[in-house]
Amino acid sequence: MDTLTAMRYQTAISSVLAYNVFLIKEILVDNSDLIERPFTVTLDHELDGVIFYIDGLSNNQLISQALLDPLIHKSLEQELLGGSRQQSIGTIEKILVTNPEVKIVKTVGEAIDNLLTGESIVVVEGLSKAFTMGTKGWEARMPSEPATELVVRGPRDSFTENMRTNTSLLRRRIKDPMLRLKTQKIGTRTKTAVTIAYLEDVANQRIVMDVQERLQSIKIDAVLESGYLEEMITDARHSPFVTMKTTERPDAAAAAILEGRVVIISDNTPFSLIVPSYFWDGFMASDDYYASYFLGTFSRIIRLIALVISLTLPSLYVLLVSFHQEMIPTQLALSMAAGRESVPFPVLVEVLLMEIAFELMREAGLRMPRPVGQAVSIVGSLIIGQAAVQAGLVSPIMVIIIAVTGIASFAIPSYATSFTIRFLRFPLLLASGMLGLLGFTAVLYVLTVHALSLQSFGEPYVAPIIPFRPSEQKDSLLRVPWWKMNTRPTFAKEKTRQPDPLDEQRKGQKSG
Amino acid sequence: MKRQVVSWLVLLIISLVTVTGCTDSIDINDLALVMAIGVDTKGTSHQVEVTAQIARPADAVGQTGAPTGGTGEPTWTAKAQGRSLFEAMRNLMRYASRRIYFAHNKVIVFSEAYARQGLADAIDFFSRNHELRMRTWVAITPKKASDLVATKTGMQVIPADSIEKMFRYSGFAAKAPRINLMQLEADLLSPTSDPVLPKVDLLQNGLAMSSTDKKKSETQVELAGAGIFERDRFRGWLTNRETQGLLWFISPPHSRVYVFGCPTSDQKVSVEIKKYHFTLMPKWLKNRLSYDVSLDDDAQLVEVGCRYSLFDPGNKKAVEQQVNQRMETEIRQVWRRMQKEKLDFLRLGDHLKAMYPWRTESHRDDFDQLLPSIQLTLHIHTQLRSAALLQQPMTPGNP
Repeated sequence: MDTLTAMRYQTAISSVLAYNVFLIKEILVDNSDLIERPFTVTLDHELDGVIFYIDGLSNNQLISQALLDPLIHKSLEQELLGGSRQQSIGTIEKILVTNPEVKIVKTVGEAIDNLLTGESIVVVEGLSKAFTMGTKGWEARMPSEPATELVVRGPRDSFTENMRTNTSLLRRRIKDPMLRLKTQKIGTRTKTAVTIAYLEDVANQRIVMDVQERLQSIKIDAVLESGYLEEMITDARHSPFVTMKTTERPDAAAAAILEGRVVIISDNTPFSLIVPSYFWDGFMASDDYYASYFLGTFSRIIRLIALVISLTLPSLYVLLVSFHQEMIPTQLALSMAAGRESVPFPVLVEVLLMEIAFELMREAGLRMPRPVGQAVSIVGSLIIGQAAVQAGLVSPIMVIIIAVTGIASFAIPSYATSFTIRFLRFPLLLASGMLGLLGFTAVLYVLTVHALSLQSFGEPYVAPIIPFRPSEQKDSLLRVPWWKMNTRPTFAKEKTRQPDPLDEQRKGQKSG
Repeated sequence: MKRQVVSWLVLLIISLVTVTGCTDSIDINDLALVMAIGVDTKGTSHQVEVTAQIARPADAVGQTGAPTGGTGEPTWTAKAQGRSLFEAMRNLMRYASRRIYFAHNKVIVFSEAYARQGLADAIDFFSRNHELRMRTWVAITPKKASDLVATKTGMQVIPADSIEKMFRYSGFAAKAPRINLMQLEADLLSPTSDPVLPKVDLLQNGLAMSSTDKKKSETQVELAGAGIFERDRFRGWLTNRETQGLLWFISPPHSRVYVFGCPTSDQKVSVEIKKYHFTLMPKWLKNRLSYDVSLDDDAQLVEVGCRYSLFDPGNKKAVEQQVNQRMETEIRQVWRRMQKEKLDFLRLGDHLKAMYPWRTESHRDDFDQLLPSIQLTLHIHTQLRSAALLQQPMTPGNP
């Protein structure tokens, strides 16, 4: 912003209409979507005014209904009172202020800021203030089925790019007067609205303050997605681990708020952030809470197995085959040796070859147009699997290892966590390929210590397993039935969800 | 400054990947997996001859998708000589295209000739070598160990695997004790016990593998008793009876079968012992050592040729007595042999030490001399509990 523009930006709205119009048009020069609509209201005097709005951001129908109609009707109804010009101006102001979403701004800059969010600006001859009218209305996607967090049983709506829609989705779920939705603008150029949502009496004040302070301290020109925010406020800046859970499911966000967490919703993206979150949150899906608790617990155990397989299976294979052959049962050892009989590479190279092929396939399938994507997966699985073995490039067992590892990584619900695990597989793989079990253990040890050292907004990252928090075990590896799920995580201010009905009964019996 | 640190880091990471040569890494298909080892003497000099049965993975495993070795032989047998066991094993490498790897070895077979010279050296080598497992079966053969190791035997693809399984399920046949390297070493190191090893032999009258070739019979490896040792030197073979008596003491069988003639006809009755309780209790009485052996067992009729039913208490009693008698004979025979040889292969000393840890100390060196004077008290109690599915004998024409 050059100095002239900055000066104009800070100028107060004057009572001369033409001057105001000139300033606004000069600042927003060369914009085809800026609409200037002059109007004249005839009361005792003829008064000129101009409505500015951005085409596409404002609802034209709303402008004519809520703005122009009252003005013009008023001018038709108005009896000639013989009032002064000043009185007429006062009447217009009264008419305009009846609009439900009206704000009065004093500077050109404020007017333009509001204009750019989709509001309309009304400037009237003789008034040294401008009115911003809530006429926001643009083409937006309707809440559709979430694309990344599918459930078998559960609500099918998801957040959209419109923050207001998103907050309304939360409000519809939590009809509690204590639900707070605090908004601030982040990004000097994008001025992205960022809302933090929490329950005043449940969320820990320390965490809420922490989130607010971190958001306020962000110095960035643009926020196009919540990923920007995530990296700006994360505790673990140089870590492959994600310390914030992302979700596009309003039910998951609402559940987090009800547990005393804070949800950060950013405009223009359906992905909201949940803080604080644990490592294990990446292994929990909404289904766990909606389906029977047996199924919920079972699925979590399966996902934990998926974690172990996805992280270690290729490394274990490499270290067994090239260092610790004595650990393999004889029959299996023979099968492995037979499979590798014609493979020209060392095991480590063989694994890396297949891992890279698999990652390529996954990456290619991810961004392909849907019809082509299918072709990629079919060709990929055919070529990589059968043909690579027949060509003698890899052993058949290797194909199974890679396939199982890949499937296991897909079984982890959170995409970010799944990626972390997939990524960490490679250092483990290299270490096991070079130093066997020793290298494997060393890298696993370093990873564990690193994860243990992390925090998410003051909460230990690997909790509630380490440090062990007994009350939170109800919702970690286990998912206890809802009548037993009567406590919140330990960081919540209000730790009891509802009294345990059995406890109540016992108390009743004692006193009775 | 910062750039320097970063460039050092990058160099470090690059060298980590490129410079380290994957220490000690050797891929599984570059190993020659030894499945069985045979140890013989070579000529009259103290040369050792080692025979190794090595798996050829490509042919040992069925459909793999990978091109197969082509010979159709699941194993390859190699033989080498040397002045010591280790030298002989290293000499194997002259033939072998892969590194000889012992961790998957199943069986070690010593020839009688080698065992007569003493096993201490071999046991030392096998337990000192980190690749060998202590649960490898050990056996001794009156034939050449190399013949045994080279013989194709059993139903498994790999012959050594057959021998391994044969030992694992030998409790049903009850023809030889089951001794692994760990047990052999324990016997050898025990101040009182003397080792005993299962005897394996070549059986000539096995059936031919292919039906078109009916006249040519295949050689098979069979379990055929036990050999006893004085310290580490081979002393002699136990008879079949003696081996069966020995099993009660050191290698409890899964089941035993006894066959008797019928009281009235020339038909036969078979009895199987599945459940039994064997205890060995040493006792010092007036400075005289005696052992109480008690054997309580449940017998089951498995094959009845003669016409009697269990409902007759007299018949039942008769069978029980016969079983008792057989068992007593077995145990007494092996006991007599032990006293004759003055070798504690029944591990009596170990039992004594477990019961009287201090009193044994004074006898640890001359326990073998004590053996002939030890008294055996036998309490055998058989109960015929079941006639399996048929309570009455099958009588032709009598429903």
